[in-house]
Amino acid sequence: MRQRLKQLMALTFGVPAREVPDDAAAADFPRWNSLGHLELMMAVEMEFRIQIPSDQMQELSSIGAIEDFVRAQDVAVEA
Amino acid sequence: LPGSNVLDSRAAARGQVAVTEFVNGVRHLDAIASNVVTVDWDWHAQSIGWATLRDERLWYLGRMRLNLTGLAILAQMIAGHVGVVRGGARKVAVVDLDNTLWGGIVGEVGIEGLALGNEGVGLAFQDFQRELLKWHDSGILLALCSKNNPEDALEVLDKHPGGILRSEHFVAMRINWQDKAENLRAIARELNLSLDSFVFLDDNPVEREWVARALPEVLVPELPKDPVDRPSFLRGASYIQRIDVTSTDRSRSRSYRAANLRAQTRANAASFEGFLDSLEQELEIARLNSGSLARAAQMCQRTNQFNLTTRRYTVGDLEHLMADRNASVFTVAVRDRFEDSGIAGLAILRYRGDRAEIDTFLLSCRVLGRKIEEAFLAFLVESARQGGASFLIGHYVPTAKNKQVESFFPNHGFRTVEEGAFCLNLRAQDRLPVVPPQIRFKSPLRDEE
Repeated sequence: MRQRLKQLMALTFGVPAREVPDDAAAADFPRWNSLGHLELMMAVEMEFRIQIPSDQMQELSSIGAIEDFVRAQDVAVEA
Repeated sequence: LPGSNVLDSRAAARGQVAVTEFVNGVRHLDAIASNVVTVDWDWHAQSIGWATLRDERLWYLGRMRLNLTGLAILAQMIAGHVGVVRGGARKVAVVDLDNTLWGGIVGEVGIEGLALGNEGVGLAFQDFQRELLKWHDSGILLALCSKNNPEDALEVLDKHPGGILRSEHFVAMRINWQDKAENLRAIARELNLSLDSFVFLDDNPVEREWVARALPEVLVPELPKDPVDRPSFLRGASYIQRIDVTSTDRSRSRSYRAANLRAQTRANAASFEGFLDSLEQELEIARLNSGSLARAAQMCQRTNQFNLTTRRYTVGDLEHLMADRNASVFTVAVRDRFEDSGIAGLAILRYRGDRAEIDTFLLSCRVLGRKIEEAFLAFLVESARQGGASFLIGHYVPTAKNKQVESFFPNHGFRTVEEGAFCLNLRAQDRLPVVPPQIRFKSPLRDEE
């Protein structure tokens, strides 16, 4: 799960996957700005086939927060 | 945004009139300059449906009007326009007959048993023909390739009361029992067009697969199985789109049929010179002007075979050249006994000191093989001489398709300076190219400069 999220971040922010830290957060990437954040949210939605409500969207600004949110959804997410 | 509590579409409070006016204004922005192309996104967005293109969260959190689907479609649309401007559109549609132009197999059910008319599935086939007629009218050449008895097929084509397309709409026909890939090759040779400008429309997946494998450069769309889905399928075809339709586009099909008549005359003539004489060819050379600009740019974009340098000038580029005092841009219009081909060639001379360079020299393949290229070159030579040049420089820039003009300059008296560069000494008057006796010039060009 965390690995998939790291992949998504790598793709969205244009960095190698191994450079995404385990506790990645907005401050780690120059391209994780407001636009980058929306791109990441869209990527997460497509990857896990979920919908993120707008009030949640603004809060999911770290890999841990995103993971918690995705896990809380009623979807089958393989580790 | 659509949706309002005021229902009258003309009511000021609804705002629809204002929006329409605004959008119409945007549509006319291409009048600012001839190198501006408008992408009518609003029209396409309405036909797709705004709901699938938007994501309200993206709007409120990021002020983005489109979701990822919308962005992808918009990007595709812009890319499509760029492709069209660059000349990527297909020129020839080769179509099958049975179960493509009409429902049923004429050899089995006869002309009365075919589905083609204004009811039911017959209407779907009729609409399919209507769409192809629109293609024809916008300059796409239609050709037939069908496994059939020619008499049966032609009878349906010319006599069926429900038919929209008649044999006069097709520039080439291959109605026989031979391999369709081979037939397509023969059509390409006959029309002198390369297969990468071809689209092949056939209901039979086996034929499609065969042609697609044998001729990978031919575009083979997967026609919907159900005939009722096919008219809209043709309407959505991006590979035949064009920005605008010129008068040359509208008459293109007619001119290819004239070429057939010409070929017959040639077969009957005793000598090639006698044949050329009988054509009564007349050239009209003019300086590029606002009226010929669109056609000139179109030729720069589309001409592949008889094109010495293949410089893809746009309308904007040509406008700069028109204003350039050191450049002369000429178009040549061709007329003969069989047709008025309109503007069919373009040449650009650039002056540098005592040299004039042929920046561009191209002719539409429809007028080749009739010594027109010789006459046009002879004109350029004379023009360069009068322009004060002592040497005329020609270039050949090889592409995948212009091999036939590799030796054009050396064949007409130019000396090879280095690979792809040739020079003609304009002071050696006895060895300059001359206008072939079988070609006349209409009203010799007068220089206003």
